[in-house]
Amino acid sequence: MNGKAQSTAYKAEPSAQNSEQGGAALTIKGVGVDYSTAEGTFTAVERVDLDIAAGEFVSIIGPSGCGKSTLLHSIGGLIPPTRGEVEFRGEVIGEPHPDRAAFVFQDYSLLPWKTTLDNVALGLQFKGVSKGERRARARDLLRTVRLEAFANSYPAELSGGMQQRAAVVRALAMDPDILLLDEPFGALDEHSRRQLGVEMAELLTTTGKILILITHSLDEAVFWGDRVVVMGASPGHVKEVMEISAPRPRAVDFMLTDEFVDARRHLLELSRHDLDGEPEPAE
Amino acid sequence: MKRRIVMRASSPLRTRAALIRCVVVVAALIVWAGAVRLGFVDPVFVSSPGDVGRALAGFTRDAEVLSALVVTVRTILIAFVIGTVAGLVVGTVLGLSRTLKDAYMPPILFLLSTPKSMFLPLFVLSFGITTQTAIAFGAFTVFFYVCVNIVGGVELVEAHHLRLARAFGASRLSTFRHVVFPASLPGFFAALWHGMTHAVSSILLAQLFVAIGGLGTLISVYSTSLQTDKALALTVVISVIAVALAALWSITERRLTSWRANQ
Ligand SMILES: Nc1ncnc2c1ncn2[C@@H]1O[C@H](COP(=O)(O)OP(=O)(O)OP(=O)(O)O)[C@@H](O)[C@H]1O
Ligand SMILES: [Mg+2]
Repeated sequence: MNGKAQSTAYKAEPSAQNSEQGGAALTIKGVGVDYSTAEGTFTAVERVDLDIAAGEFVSIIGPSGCGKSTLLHSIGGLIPPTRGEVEFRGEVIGEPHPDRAAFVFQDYSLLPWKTTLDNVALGLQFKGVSKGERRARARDLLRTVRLEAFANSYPAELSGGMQQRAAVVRALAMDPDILLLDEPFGALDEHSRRQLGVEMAELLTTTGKILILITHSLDEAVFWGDRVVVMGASPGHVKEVMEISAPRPRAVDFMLTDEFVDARRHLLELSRHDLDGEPEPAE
Repeated sequence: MKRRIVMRASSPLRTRAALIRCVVVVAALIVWAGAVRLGFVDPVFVSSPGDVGRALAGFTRDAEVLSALVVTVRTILIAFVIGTVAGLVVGTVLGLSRTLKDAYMPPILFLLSTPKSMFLPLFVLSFGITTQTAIAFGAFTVFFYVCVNIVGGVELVEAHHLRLARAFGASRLSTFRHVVFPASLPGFFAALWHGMTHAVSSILLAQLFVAIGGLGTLISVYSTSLQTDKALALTVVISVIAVALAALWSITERRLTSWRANQ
């Protein structure tokens, strides 16, 4: 994939939506997804249009079942959109291509019969990277999330948060242009979530990649996002796209600023109606 | 077709269980010997533990028994290999294809549930009174058990693991090697296990009812000529072989699926 050289060029400008590069790197054009079920077709995502610039961080929030995961899978080429298409640098994304877009799945999906190290090295193995090299790289990545002591443990021996960290670095190992994160911190309590967030901040935001993060935490959505996409349900659609203008990377103090508090309040009001059943993070 | 729960009792518990088992065996032997001595049963028909022991010892010098043992073991292995390879191939293909599975699984399951011994006469008709009859009948029986267990194993592959493989760019071969195969290992082992036990039982059955040589035929010869001690001693030999195979098997399986130990 020849995108590698270009993605390095973007690294200098994490907030690339303001850059002279201008235009979108990732274009989601009228994407809709129908599932065929026993009862007929079910529209999970009606229509989503979104332009995302290189290096941009987009958070997606919305009630459970509104099609967030479906949309994300479509963006990465896992589910072909029923309507519309996804383009990356002018190329239509048809099949999954881990160098271009790598996933962190909602259920982390570590293979239980492989050690943590081999799970992290999985994509590299599929790519044909030699055993020594991929293990060395996986080991380095495990160190960045303080999991090096568990390199030879099986996933069943890891806590939920540890498995999620492993799944995040498994995606990072591909050095993709786009990282698709489906509630990567979902299984964590508020404290570890913040802890992990701070750790991941460096890893995730200094790389100049496009990041798309699905989350149920409004705090997380605002803290990380250059934009927050608010989705609504039945059928899934975009209700609002909100800009968060503070430059990234953001320090924890950002959570005390007016911008953060106002944005969060606005999102809370927006989602009050349909986040029924979804517990709000404790204040 | 779950064979056993993966759970290991602590060792004092296991020792105690083994002890209780021994007590039952010893008690049975004492009752048997006592019944013969006191004249409750006729030693011509049931022999006695002492006679069986002596017959067992005699086998080590008995060329007839030793060559029958070799014939039986060889026939079992050949039938096992043929039936297992066929079952593996067909089972994997059926397991991976919905359409083929829908088409062929019902007849296979139907045949699985009918007693296979019913078909033995047909094999005799086709192959005559030869070892081929035993091999063909054994392989036929093994095939069904292996095939069904392999299909069951492949069904255990989880959709989200397949999705993971696709997302991370796995080729078809890699997907099979790193996802489908390991996920179906438990089914694979169940298949080999059922294949082996049915290879043993079907070969002995064939040898018992068709005079083609081997331990089965020998048992039938000894029983009809009222050499009960030898017939029983042969049964003991066969049981020991079966138990040894089972032990070997569970050790191998445990080692190869060690990742399951902590789940
Ligand atoms: N494979 C499928 N077949 C049929 N319907 C599906 C399938 N996958 C998802 N759906 C339906 O599509 C809708 C959207 O699912 P999706 O997983 O995208 O929701 P989500 O927003 O990610 O929810 P959550 O926040 O709970 O993860 C749901 O109503 C779900 O029932
Ligand atoms: Mg989801």
